[in-house]
Amino acid sequence: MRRLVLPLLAVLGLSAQAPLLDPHTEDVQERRLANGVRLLVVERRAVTAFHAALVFRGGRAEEPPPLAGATDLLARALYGATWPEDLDPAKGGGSLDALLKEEEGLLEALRLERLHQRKAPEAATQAQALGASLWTLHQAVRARYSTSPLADLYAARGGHQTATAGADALLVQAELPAADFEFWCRTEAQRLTVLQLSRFSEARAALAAELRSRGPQGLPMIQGAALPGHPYGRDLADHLPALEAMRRSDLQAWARRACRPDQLTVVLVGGLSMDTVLPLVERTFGTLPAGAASASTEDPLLPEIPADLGDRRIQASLGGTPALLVGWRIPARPHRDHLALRMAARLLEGPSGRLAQRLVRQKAVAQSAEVWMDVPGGRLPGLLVVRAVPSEGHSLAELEGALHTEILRLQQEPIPTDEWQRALTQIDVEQLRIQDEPGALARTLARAWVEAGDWRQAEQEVQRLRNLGPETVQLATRTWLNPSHRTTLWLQSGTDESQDPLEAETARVLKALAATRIEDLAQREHLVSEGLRQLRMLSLDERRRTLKLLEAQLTPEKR
Amino acid sequence: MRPLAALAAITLTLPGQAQTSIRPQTFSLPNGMRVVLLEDHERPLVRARLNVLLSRDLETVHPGLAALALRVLGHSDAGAFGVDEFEQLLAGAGIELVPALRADGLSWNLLARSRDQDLALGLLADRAFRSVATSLTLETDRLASWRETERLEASPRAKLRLLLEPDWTLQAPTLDHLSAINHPDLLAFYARALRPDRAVLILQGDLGLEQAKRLVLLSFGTWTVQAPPPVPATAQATAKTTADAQTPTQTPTQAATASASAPAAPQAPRILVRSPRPALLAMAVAAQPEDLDPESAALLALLLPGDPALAPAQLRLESRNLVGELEADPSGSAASAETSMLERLQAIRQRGFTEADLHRAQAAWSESRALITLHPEAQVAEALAEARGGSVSPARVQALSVETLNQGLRRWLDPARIRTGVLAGPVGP
Repeated sequence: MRRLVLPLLAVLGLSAQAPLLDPHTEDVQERRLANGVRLLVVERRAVTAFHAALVFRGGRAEEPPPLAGATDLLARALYGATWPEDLDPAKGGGSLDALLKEEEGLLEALRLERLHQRKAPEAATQAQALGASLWTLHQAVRARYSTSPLADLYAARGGHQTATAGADALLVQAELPAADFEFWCRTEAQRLTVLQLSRFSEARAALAAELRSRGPQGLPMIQGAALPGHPYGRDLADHLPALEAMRRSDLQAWARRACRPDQLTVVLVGGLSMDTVLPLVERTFGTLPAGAASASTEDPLLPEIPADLGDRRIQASLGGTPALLVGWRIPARPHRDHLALRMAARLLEGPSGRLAQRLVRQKAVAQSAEVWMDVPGGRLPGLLVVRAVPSEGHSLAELEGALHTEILRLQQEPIPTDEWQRALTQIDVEQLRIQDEPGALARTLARAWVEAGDWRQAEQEVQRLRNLGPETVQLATRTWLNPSHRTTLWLQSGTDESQDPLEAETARVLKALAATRIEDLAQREHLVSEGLRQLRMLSLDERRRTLKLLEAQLTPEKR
Repeated sequence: MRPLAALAAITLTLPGQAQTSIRPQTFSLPNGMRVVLLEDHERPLVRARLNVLLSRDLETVHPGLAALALRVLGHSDAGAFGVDEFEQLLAGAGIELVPALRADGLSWNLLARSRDQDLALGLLADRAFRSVATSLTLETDRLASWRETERLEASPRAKLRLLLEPDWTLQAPTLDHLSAINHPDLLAFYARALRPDRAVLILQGDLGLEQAKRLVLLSFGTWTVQAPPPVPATAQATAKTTADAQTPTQTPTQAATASASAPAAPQAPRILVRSPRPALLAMAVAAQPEDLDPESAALLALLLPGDPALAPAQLRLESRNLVGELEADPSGSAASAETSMLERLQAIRQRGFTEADLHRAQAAWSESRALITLHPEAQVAEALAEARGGSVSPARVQALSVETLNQGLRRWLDPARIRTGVLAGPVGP
């Protein structure tokens, strides 16, 4: 009986309810300030607080190689917390900025001294004396910090802030009571004006330690292989020496460019109206100096990678569970096929998606299967990635074959109506949820502006998704999810990469070769990392032959 | 786990009743299930959380049992539906039904369009008390549970955190623990845990009180308390072994580590996890004392993480645990990193907080109540805390004295409650 009752209730429910709500464009009000800052406000009258998103378009993709990691450092050092001394650096005796400049000099001297020591271990060293001076200086700097718990200005007002570095943007999200809106405006404008970065050295050390202990990972590996030479393919762990050489003044200079007003959109969702917020935003964010005309109008030139670069394969042993990662190069979000591919990803993903149904439950060749769109970003051509973990007793080859069968089915067999309808229903629920959660709505609008160039796309794309036909999706999958766009990574269980003798030997030889030709240690280490990554794409036999060729270039005593 | 931890953090940092016009309405079913309704017709959405308290009876003390039981339940037929059909019904209506295991018990979180509320609540009830847990998927789920533990262990940092977890429901099981669980254990667990008189259902969103009463009665009215089956012998044996192996401050893994590596029990049991790369990180986990009043806990949760005396260590709140981390120079000693982390915590414990700190925390807490209006999920979590008697009272927050606060601090950071461990590189001390 219940078997009949529940679906019946569902059907009755369908006809009894009001039409679905969508993100209403009219709910979002937009203003552009004279200096280029964009402001989006979505008023929610029942809410007594506000969610604010500051989104700076650019992100990791626009970092030049010597500044790799700058966006991550800004997320940590500029926005990690809201310290009073960062906003009022002149308070108290002496200048915090002067101390921080001194710290920068000492840190750089210490870094160079350590490099020198690595080259000539027997030579006399100043490292200890420099370390002692640095310690004394740190005490002086810390003496200027607030000693009170709840020193973070937002935490003291019951709010909080987080910052995320992404491939396309730096996203800062804060939540505070509505009564604190003016305080938030003043604080954020002051933060961008002062750019104090008092905790820069701590943030840099923490990020470097994190990257060092993290080791190689599947997703950055497939990005690097699928998008070679492109910022989207960059693994920050390969740029550690550059990161450690970055100075506070470098980051400040970068922040002045990356966080300039025309790169910024402020999204506010909560108990605030445009009439209330606009005068305050104009008085604070509106006074930030606009960037140079040439800089503000030109996007940086980024390399373009042909999508049909050819079928690429990598095998790696990182320890842990074996996994299969397959990535297809797909177009950027503004491309006409992007929405169809997004729908294709939806048909594949989730507990009711094809991969879970067919690979996990029916064929039982996979323990789990996940699908990610726009890896690592959607502003530029990126990847659609499937990650699947084989079930006990099933090989990666078997899983790969089963995955490709599903992709072929998607491309060739008609998509059943109920499956299509299910995907549309899920999109409807997702839209409702976004509307219901201020943070999610702010992120959605911000992301649409960054990736598609216009926040209105957040709604327009949903409408277009509903009007897509299954044939369009199949056509797009045939165009993009094909072998020439594909990169496959086999992550095998077992030993750690560092214990792979072939990889270890290749690294040794590459380092020795690089040492004979490149003076700069940072460049040298980057070259070795990049070389190793490229070599992983070769077959075992090709890797052995390459190693022999490389060894032949070394002097006999270094072989 | 991460989204849940984040939500828990939001909930804990936004305690107390929200400054919102939504007035909780409560009712109970004859079977003892309590229901709280947060009526909000702003959008055609309904959220629900069905929470069942887990007993700490010895019969259920198997690390991994609750997680495995939840996993098996998720792969079982429910009510009149086979598992595939059940999944298709959920997906067809876009209903999200997510199980969760946390310190506050087993929960199912539901999100559905209000037009699908009948179907959604019916399916939630099917999953919670009409699931037919056969032994067919037990082996597959056991293996999947073990694989999940292995996957977590592949990250040395996550492994260390798991080893320090004080809550038995969240501790990572050993292979022996998992292997010892059989089908009768699961059935006994379901009978003891999944009872309407232990359950609270929070409903939030687009439904009225009368409608909610009708729906809940229709879906959950037939849920009855089952007589628990006799405790299987294996469960008793495993529980006894587990209890014997654990001192009040040691997980089974810690006990094993301590007995294997040190002839005499160390003062602070140290767990050393090796990383394949250079690293040195000391970690300390302090579980919130069971009887700490919610007001002190809420204010300490605000004051402790940003305390400058911790620098350069970091302290965060994860569910009911304070988790401290101190990154040190990889060439340094593991023991000194661990000592340094502990010293920082003890320095704060001995120093205590001042009247001024208390006032700042009280003000911050009061202001933070507005933020809950931004988070429908947090409203649900808060209603659950209130139903369980763990909510924070604004009046008691304002009346809290600095002595009570510092007493709570001393108990929370009592060295006997703190578990510590170190993550170190492949070689070294």
